[in-house]
Amino acid sequence: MRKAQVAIIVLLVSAVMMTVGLSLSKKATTETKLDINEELLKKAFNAAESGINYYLGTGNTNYNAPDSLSSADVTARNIVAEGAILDFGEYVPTNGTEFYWLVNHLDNGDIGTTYYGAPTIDVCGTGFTGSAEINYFYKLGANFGVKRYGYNFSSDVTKKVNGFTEASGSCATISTINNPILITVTPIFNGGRFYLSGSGTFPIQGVEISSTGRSGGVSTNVSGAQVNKKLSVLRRYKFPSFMLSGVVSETSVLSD
Amino acid sequence: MRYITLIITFFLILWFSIGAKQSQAGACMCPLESQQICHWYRSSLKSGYLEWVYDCYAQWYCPIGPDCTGTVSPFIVCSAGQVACGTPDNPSCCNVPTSAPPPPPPPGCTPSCGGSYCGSKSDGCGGTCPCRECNACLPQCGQVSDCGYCSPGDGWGPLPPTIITPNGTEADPTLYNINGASSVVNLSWLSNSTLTDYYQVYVENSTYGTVWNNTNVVATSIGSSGYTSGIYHWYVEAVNSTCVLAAGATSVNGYFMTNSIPTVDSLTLKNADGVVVPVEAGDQNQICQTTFSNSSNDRRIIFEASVSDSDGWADVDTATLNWNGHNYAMSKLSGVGTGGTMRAAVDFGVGENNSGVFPLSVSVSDNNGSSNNYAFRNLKVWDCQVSVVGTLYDGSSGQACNEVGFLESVDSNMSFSSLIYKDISGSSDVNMTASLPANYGPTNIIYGKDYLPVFNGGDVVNPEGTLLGTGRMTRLIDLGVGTTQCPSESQFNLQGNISAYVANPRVRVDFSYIKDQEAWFQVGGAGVKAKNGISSGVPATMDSASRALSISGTNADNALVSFTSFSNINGFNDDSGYGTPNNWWLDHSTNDLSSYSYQYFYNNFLINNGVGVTGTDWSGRPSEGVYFVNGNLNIDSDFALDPGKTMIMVVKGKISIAEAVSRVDGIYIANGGIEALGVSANQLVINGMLYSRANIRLARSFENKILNNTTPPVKVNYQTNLIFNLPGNLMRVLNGWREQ
Repeated sequence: MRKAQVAIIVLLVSAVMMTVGLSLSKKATTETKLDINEELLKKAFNAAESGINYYLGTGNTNYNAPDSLSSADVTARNIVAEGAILDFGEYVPTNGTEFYWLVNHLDNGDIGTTYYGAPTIDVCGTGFTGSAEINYFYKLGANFGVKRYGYNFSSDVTKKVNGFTEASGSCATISTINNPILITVTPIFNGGRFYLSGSGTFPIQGVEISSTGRSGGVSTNVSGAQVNKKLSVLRRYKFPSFMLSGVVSETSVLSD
Repeated sequence: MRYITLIITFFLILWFSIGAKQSQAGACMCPLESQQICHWYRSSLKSGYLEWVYDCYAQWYCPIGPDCTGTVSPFIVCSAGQVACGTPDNPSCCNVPTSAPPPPPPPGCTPSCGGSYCGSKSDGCGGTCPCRECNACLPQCGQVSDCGYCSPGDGWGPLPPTIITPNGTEADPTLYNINGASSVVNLSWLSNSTLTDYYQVYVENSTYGTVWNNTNVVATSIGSSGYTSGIYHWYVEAVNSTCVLAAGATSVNGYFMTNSIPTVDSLTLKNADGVVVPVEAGDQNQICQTTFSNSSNDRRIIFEASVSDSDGWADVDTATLNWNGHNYAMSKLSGVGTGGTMRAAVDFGVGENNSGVFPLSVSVSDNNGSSNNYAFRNLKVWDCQVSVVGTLYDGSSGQACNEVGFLESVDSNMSFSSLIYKDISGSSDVNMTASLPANYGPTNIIYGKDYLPVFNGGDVVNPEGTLLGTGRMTRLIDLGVGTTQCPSESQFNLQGNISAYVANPRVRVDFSYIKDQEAWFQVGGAGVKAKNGISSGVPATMDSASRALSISGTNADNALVSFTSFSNINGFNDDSGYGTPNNWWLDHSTNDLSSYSYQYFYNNFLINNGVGVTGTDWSGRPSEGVYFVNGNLNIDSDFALDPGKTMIMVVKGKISIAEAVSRVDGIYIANGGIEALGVSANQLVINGMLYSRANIRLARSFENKILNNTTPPVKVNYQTNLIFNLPGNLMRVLNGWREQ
């Protein structure tokens, strides 16, 4: 009786142990497959990113990884206005700054001499309900200058900057005196989406670089499938926004 | 004895004879005149009727009165039925012959006259009925309107009135003072008859020409006019106009003389040098007016009265000036025609000082003894001492008459130590008793003198001396009347600002000064942003066109000033002090969420783009481009960029700008703060931008802090060129990474 009981217990323990062992074996097999896929994706992502850097460094659009296990194809598209509207389609956070160039850039990044030609530009917000600081940079002879504008787009008195002009509607018209160089828009109180509208020709604002990285299908097909990863990035012309002001401190500005 | 008896008898007879004569003629020795007076009277009952009888009598009178005083009085009155006769020396009354009386009626005959009738009528008994008026008769003067007996009426002239005033004689006329032809001489008299209906009054000059008359006077007095200086006589006669126009005899003549009184037309006050002293408000003068105090004898007043007399300047005799119970004789100067000047030069002594104000008057008389007194303006003669106290106030946050800038007393930082009221036109400087750190006085100064308050050992050229303040504003408070004035000049005179006519003139003279401003900075062509606080120092002393933290620059508008908290270390907390012309400000941080560090620029500029050089100190900087300092940077010399160039200084530690530096160009970025401290003779000009993750302290002052009042010791001029002269590749930024 005692032996029977021991045998039953041994059988039960053995059954449990077998069950656990089989379960662990199944999981290990799955995780091995996942690790392989993630590795491929990572390689594809890295290949895509390296493809962009390769493009930025060499201008070539075909990138092959040194280990020959991944590659990337790169394409570049100019960022231009759509008709009379120049809209980057991006949200500008509160106190961030959007840069709209009114002069072309040369290949080395320096500004050129092809200027926006119309006498005015409307700076518009899409449903924007804050205030906006707008700087219009121009070139006059060999020197540059700046005209500054401030508009309150909100009817909420708590979202008005003292002294700013009350905007009528969602747009503010800027006169493009001298040779237009740049318009910057800094939303205050709220972030928002902005665009320029004008009858002149807006210059190219930069390029959108897209890179598709590939991995797994080059020389080793782990699961029999190739993994692709696409990255895109905008290369535009900007400078730190503190340069729009004379004195900026992340703490305090003191006279004593 | 018998002879003695005879002599006594003779004299007794003579005495009685004279006494009898005097009883008839009274005491009057004047020639008598007679006047025949006739009238009707009711005699007696006659045949049952009262009979009216016409009769006359004589009245003897003395034309100037029995006592030769001009009082007319009847002398002899004859009885009814008699008339005056005889001579004036021997008047008497004589019987008036009458018709024989009617014969007595026959016996048994009863006279009968019946009712009314007109004319004569027999009474039936041989007699004549007495006159009886019929009803149809028209009433005659004095008669009743209904049928009645004949009335005598009042158809004869009244007795002459008796004059009352003027009643002078030709030798001693009554004196009247007149002032032109409109002056009135009142004529009055007494009536002597009830028959008088009105009077006729005449005034004649010495040649019997009528000067004035009135022929219908009902009252017994009347005013006459139209006289010039001279001798006149007048008379009056009573008129009975009831039945017939019957004028009585005229009254005696009353003589009077008119005389023009001298007048004082004006009174002029001059100082000892003959300069006319202007009349002050309230028609008054006082001896401490500057016209007196600046003269050769500040206690002398010359009074000149302009006197005139229609009778001629020669008729003016004397004049006397009166002030506060003092009489000052005025001398007669030359005159022309009817006018001239009377003058008195008075040297007022200390004993005549008085805190009160008293009127001036001039009394003038002529050769006839007629005088006139004229009152003129008020005059105050006093010691000119005015007690003055005062306080120095801090007007650094603004000044305006008469309270702004006069609220907070200065502290010891103003370094007030002494105050002298400098006598500009003399040598009577007054040292004020100072009660430091802000008060002075009470000390007396002299009214009417020009003073320049000079502080701390200063002089006329530098009246502030060593006082650490500028922009003096003076405020004068008249403690007597409470008025406040703010003279525009530092030099002032109490005259015109303080009333001298109160009993005890006192004044408070306060000064408001703008403290020499402390260090401050200003940005041209851009804004200022701080995530936390901004302590500005823009002073009230700046010209309003540039009295702001952010002002326009060259080709660059001023811009937004944003902060979490704000203060002004120099006290100018006006909301206009943020920016001009764009006064844009927000008490809310507008700093970009991105914070730029040394490493950011190092990676993006130097590593990624190969732009920039590294170094350890200011001397190792390049002439342009980007300079990285992995530590602190002490800027100890000027740095000017060539045109078309740019420079970015990226410092991991702190940037310190030495006092000796007056200009640096470029964009300065520091993780550990930026500061420009100390004092310098020169302004620090930073042509560019400043950015730090820590505090930026621009607390540098001019050595001469007065310069801080009108010039920012540190000026940041925003330079757009520095941005667009950067290498273009530094602006190429990757963003918007997207994974698909």
